[in-house]
Amino acid sequence: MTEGPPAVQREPAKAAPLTPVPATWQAAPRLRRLATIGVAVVLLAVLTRRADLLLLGAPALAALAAARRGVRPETLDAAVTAAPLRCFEGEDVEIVATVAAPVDEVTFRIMPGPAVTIIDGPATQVAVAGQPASARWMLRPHAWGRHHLCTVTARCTDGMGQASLTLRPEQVEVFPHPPPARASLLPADLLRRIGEHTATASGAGIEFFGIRGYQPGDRLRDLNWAVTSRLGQPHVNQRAALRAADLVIMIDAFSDVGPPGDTTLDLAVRGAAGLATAYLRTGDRVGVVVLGGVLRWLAPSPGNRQFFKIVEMAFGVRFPSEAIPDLDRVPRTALPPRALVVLFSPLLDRRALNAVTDLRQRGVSLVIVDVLTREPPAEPRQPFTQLAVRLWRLDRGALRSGLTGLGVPVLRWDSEAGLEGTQAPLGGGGGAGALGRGGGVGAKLRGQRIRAVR
Amino acid sequence: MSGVDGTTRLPRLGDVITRLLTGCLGAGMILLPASHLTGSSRALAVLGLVLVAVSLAGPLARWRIVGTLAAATAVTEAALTRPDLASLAWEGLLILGYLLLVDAPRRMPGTVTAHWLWRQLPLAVWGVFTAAIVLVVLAVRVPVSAWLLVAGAGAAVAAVVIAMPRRSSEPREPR
Repeated sequence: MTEGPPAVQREPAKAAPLTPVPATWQAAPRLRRLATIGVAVVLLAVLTRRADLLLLGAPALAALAAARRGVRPETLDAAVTAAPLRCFEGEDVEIVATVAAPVDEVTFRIMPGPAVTIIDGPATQVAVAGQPASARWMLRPHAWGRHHLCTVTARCTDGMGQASLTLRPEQVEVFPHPPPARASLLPADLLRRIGEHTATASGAGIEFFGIRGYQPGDRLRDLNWAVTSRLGQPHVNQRAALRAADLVIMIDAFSDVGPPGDTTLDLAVRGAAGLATAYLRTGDRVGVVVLGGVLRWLAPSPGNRQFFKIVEMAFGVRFPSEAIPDLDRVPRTALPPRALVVLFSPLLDRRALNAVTDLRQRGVSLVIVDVLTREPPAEPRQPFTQLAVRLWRLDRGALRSGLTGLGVPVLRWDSEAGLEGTQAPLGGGGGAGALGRGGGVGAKLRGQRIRAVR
Repeated sequence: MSGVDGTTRLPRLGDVITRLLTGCLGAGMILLPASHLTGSSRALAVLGLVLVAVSLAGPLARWRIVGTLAAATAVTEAALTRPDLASLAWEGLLILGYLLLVDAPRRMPGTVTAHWLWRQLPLAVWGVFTAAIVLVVLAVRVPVSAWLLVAGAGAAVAAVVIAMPRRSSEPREPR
């Protein structure tokens, strides 16, 4: 079984057809310089009545006159390509800019977008006539989304004229890089579909479930000889069934705070991708509900294809909205009653908290992953800001305690670590509420029908 | 120099050669008439050298007017002194060389730099040719004529008009 996200089909880099780009020709800086000096020298010679001073400006004027002239094209054929057009965060994308025009010199300059770094190739590249006018860079996007990775400016100089072209490559779909996660949180009631999770019912699995008396049809190799000899009656071992689970990932898109590429929404979508990868790998069904903007959902479904559906739905979450989500609009197929719901939220917006309360009142098994990793900045010289930060911490603590009292565990996720460490607190050994039968080692969470399996 | 991604990049060899050449030409155009300067006018030479240095490196290098000001300083120096015709011809050629090279694109690889310099050669040759013609014309003793100066001014204006980029006279296709 492979670790990591499903592979993206990487199409080979191919040359894009050149398209005519409108060019506005202007006087090149060299023309202005030479003309300024030439005219200034001639004026000086006239004013001072010194013809010998013409020797200072004559070469400059001659260079002006000797420069290539002629009608310049109104459009220049140019193109910029990005390959591949689909990748994961942290993977490299090749950008190639080409200008096919009879000009003396082309200066390419790339301006990468936010959360995009240049890995290879100088930001400014020059091509002179007689050489292929193209430039190549390798960029590395650090933020998921569907966006233009860069803008390329091509400054074409021809004789004493200059035109500047602005080129933008196609939009690249950057998928979030899923952090390592395990399918360790499970709803108490698993589905009737065959999966990889040990259910709390007997079946055809491999884990020990219990012992019962022999019945006609039982396989002889299941006989428990120790119990049979002690009780004098034939007894057989029962094994736990292997079932699949439904997971619904909720993304709170109401708030988005933090630096580009590392905002709370970035973390939420990365976490959702990691969890989806882990559960889809074990044959579970995964769905998604996006809170914020227009309420959108995707019904749980298995398979690698579902991963890309989830991520593509997440591409459209980045826009502000004042709408209040009405969870009644989410159909039963998208939010099955026996599903485990994991909400990725910074817990900053009241509407998301209201949605949590609503879900708990419906009896949905819910776990919250807090994706707010940064505190408000405190100015050390101003005591009031430090006091404000302390109050903010207390408020956050009270909020988390309130949610825990409501029966909703809140897990804090540091983006530096994988989700496995975040899930660990829920996987603590069998306590008072441990599920003994067929559940392996786990704990029943307060008031909720959730199992955390180690 | 610092890259867009914040990393510090060493200048390329071609870049160093171009700047060195430009610096030599710029220093030459400032220092050639400086020996004839007297008194406070020597400050012009210092100012010119500073402008040449600023036009080559530093945050002000991207201001194109700095190079023009450096060349204008050299012209002022030559106007204040009375060098001989040969010196003036050399001065004019140094100014042309400096103005051509100060526009060189930054961060060119060595091969591209050589190619770029090669493409500037025709302009320099035209400059030398013109300087030689003007030198010969001035060396011949003729009475000072305002008409000659007016003709020179006319030639300068004509050169600028000829070199200016022009738009196509054909009507644009409707979109």
